[in-house]
Amino acid sequence: MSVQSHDRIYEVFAAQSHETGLEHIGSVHADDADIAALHGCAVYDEEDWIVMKVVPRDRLYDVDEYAGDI
Amino acid sequence: MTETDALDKETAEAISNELLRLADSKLLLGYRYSQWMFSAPSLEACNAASSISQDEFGHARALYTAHLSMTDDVEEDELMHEREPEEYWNAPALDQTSETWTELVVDAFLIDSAIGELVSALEYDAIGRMQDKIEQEESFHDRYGHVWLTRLAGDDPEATQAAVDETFESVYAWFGPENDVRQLQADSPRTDEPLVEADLRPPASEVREQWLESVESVIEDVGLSFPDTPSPDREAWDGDRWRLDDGGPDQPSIEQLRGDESAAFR
Repeated sequence: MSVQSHDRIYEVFAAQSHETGLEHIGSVHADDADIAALHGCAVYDEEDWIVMKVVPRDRLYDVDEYAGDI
Repeated sequence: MTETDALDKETAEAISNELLRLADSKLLLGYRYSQWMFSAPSLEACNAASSISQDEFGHARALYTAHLSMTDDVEEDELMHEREPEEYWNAPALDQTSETWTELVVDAFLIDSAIGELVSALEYDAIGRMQDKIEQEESFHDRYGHVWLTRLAGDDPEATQAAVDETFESVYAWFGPENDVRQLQADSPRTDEPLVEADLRPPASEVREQWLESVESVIEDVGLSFPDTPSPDREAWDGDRWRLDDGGPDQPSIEQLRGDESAAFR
């Protein structure tokens, strides 16, 4: 079989301490959240995070005043 | 945990042999992952394969160090750079390159968990301060395998089941014939008997049952199953290398692992 390529992008957020809170650290390609979480862990494991979260880019909502893509 | 000084020669040799089987298996597993560093399904999966490969090489290094500390029969250079394929004591399921990503995921899931059960079952502090780090990394490898198995079994259950069927039989056989120690002594001695007799590890067939319990729940969870597999032939069993044939890893893999092409720089 061939494994299909995955076009969905997940944004990765992580925190190094409770004081600093979550910061955006990058993004990964995956077609479901479980694999996105694994990729986040494998790609961004150089720092000592205490929390890491992933969210599909297409589930982030525009704020009207600053709508657009980057 | 038992200290080296408290061991008789036969038991120390049995531990040393066990560590070599585990170290060679980790080395080959790390290498099989590394072969997918540039061809996994996505850049991120390549990154993960690279990361896990690096972990496995680290685990192999810790186990080789422990093995070398228990034997005067071999030097490090000889161990790492001079062995022929039939002198490697790896799990036979790692002899060949995993031909597809599905095969790699299945192979790694079944073999790494089997190695992990044997490492955990050994009541001898072989890897000391590395233990916590190895367990942490293996926890990620387990999760990685489970998540990918779920995905692959959903996408192509036939191919994933075929990969399970092929590798399961080999890993099941790796643990050897059923462990009736007295019977084994009578017709085909296993060199790990001193481990069992010294209460340093349960019989390998019991460790296999623990492994089965841990992997079967995952395999069933993703809608797959294990094939009926007979106990390996007692007569054909090599009690040192834990295999039924006199083979070993493929030659190109061994040439790379030995670093043949960089020998001039050592």
